[in-house]
Amino acid sequence: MRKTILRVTSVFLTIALLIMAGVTAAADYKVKVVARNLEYPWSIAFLPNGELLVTERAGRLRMIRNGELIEYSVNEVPKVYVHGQGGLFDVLVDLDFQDNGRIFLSYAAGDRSSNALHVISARLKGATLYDVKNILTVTPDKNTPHHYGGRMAMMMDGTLLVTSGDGFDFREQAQSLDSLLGKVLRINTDGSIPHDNPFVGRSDARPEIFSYGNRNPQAILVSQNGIVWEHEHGPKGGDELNIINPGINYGWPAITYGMDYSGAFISPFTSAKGMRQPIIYWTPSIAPAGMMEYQGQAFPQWRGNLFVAALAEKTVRRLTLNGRAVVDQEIMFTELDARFRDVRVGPDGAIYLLTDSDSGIVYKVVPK
Amino acid sequence: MMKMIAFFLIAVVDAAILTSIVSTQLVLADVTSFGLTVSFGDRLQTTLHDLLGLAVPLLLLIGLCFLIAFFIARRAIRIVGGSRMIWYMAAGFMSVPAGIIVIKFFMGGTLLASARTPLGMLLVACCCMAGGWVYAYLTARFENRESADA
Repeated sequence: MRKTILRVTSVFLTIALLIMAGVTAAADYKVKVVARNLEYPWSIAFLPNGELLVTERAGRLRMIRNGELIEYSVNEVPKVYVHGQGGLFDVLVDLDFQDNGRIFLSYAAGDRSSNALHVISARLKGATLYDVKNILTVTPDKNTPHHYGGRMAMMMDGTLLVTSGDGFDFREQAQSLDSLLGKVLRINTDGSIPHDNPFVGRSDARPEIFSYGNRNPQAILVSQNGIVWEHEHGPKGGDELNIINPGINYGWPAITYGMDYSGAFISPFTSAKGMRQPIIYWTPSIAPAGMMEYQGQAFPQWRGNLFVAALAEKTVRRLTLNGRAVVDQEIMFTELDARFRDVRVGPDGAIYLLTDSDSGIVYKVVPK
Repeated sequence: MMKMIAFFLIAVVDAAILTSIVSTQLVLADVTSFGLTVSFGDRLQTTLHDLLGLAVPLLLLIGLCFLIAFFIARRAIRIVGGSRMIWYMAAGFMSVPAGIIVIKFFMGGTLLASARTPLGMLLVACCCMAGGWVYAYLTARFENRESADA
């Protein structure tokens, strides 16, 4: 009897120690508030001079200087269509920003009956945009305020990847090479088409298309080793993490692990020949938003991991990779009880989190 | 009164079943347009699944739309006159598409995937028109008696 009690006690102690070790590892950071009261902050970018740019979906581009949110917003941001999921989306700093001062903004433009995702390039000087140039307009336009995509990443060759959502009511167009809806697009920073895009020269396809069959891609990044990671919202279930390769069909809506919000099938198939499977998928949906690959110095134990912000799950997921496979997932920052719109690594190795709310917060995560 | 409620529910269920079956076939037509083959087994399984999956939203949508539309139709029959059958069929035909359009106005998206195209909307309207016909047929004796009493 005594032996049994000792065994049970030792098992419990071991489990408790393991849990405590896990908690210690997970909580080996502290979270600071950088800025508050942002109206649905969507994306964050870092300038070489240490300033931060934050987009608010409401249509404003804000700056954080010396750790303080500047009261006024950047001037000359184009008129944004703010409705439903529409608004100002991503901000991306050119790799050659120090030479050309250029940034890129993605946003919804138009009105209720006709709107579309746009991308501009502009030079940022002080708190004003100059030389604003539209470099991409997704066509056809649509009459829904949903599923814009709108994330951007710069490839190592200096071309720009832009995600475009399927517009919700137009999901079949994700399979159409005539349409820019439901795609990952690739353009040069002046808006021209890279000559090595996969569908260049085909009369039945738009040359901007890099990949197709994507639903509502909410993050895209080019990893240190050149892999293009993308994730996208599924419908009810079936959020996907993909590796994007040129010319590949990712299946939406012909194949999916999700169901329609109405409860109906979107497709009875989860796989098909010629359609790429996701690396992983999340059912039930976590609603993945931003994503980053951690390569900072502040948390050396997390280097090479992907961090995925999640809106519905109110977490950030840390994905441990083995090559192109996800071998582990840790759920983080539940203590903040927030819908996370974006997660980024700063030049100092700190992790920045944006919360999705009408009084959104920019958090900075640093080692204890 | 209880019979009228039962007849109303029969009409709603009838329209919901038809709408669900038609919706599934339209969605599967999209799937086949992508080059995938949908076997009879897949089709049957998907149709049966959707009958359950769509049941709650369709019953709620159609129930609410029919409630308003049939009330208006009944008033119209008394005030304007004309064929009961045509009034209720027209009410069924128009009510659910109107409901879908109103929902899209507020939510920004179409609740029922099959109703995103004009053809799909027309077929959904026809399914609901059948619901209107069922209601008119089942309630004919009662409403005619009411009219005679009045």
